[in-house]
Amino acid sequence: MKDFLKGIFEKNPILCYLLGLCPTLAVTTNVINALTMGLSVIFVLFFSNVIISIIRKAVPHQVRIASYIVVIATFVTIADIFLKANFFEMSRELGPFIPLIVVNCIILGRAEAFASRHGLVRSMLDALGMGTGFTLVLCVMGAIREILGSGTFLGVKAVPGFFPQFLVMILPAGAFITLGLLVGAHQAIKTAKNEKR
Amino acid sequence: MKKIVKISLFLLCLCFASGLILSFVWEKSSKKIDENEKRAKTEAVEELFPGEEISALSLDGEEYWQAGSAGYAFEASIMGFQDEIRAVVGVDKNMDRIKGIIILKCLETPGLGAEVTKDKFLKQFNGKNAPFSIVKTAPREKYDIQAVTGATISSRAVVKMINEKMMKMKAVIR
Repeated sequence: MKDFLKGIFEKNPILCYLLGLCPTLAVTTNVINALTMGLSVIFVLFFSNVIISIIRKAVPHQVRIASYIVVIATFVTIADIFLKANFFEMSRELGPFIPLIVVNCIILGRAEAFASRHGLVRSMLDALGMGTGFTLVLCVMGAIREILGSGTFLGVKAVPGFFPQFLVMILPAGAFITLGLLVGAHQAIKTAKNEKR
Repeated sequence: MKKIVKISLFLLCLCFASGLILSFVWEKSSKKIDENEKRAKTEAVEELFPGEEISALSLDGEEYWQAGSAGYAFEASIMGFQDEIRAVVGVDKNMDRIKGIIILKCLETPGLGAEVTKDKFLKQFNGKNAPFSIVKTAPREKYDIQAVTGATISSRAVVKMINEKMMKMKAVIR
């Protein structure tokens, strides 16, 4: 259970390690993009962690990174094909960011740091935890940026008419501002928790 | 020596398994993807010629669409910086004015090459006739297209794609 929970808050891949920032900053202009990205990453992370954990004793040490990349790329391609076949509009919206999951450092990072050293069940929990943590942060960012930037939530009007829309929030600068505030808040909560103890 | 054989064999097996799985998944979904792409194309043509009756035609092995008496549309593609760029181009009925360009597929670098899919770049073609030439400074001649900053290769590819396809389609439709 600890393997699952740590990825969500304590060791959140985005807020704590600042990993996988490229999709974090780029696709969080609205909630639905963020959610699709997050689910794709959970899928890839889960299955590559499973496979890597299973084959971890057979992988020759010298080519382990290359092997991990092959495994990861396979699942990314599956996710890409699946989205193209069933969620065509979504896949066009996300464009190259789905294939780019291959180089998402969260996935390679978890493969190298966790799945290659731990058993199947722990690796699964780790992948689910890290993936959920990633998705949560993406969705929170997507929600903040969509509500403030376009005044909608999941494409539906969410704020009263007089409320101003801050265009900067859906531009790249808004992504950095939101991420910065979230990382700050995360650190503040963590520090407060530690002091209590 | 023995080590190298072992490593190669491992990678070979891994890649083989990966290829096997992928070809299976592709087999299952390629039909659906084709359908989606076809629909996206028709939708793009309808967007270029709203309210017109669209009919798909083919002449001399070139496929194109006729939009009532308003004009024609055809698909163009070229190798971009990273992958293929594909677009639907709409032209008026005399084949000498571009009505609009809609990019269907573009996997260029986000923020740089991908800017060629934006209106700011594509609007430069509207109302003009090929051949276009690409410039890096503000356009001086009527047929100058200003390249996207930091994405000369992608911009050049789009211009080349339009020039070549327009030339070809002019020969076919006239």
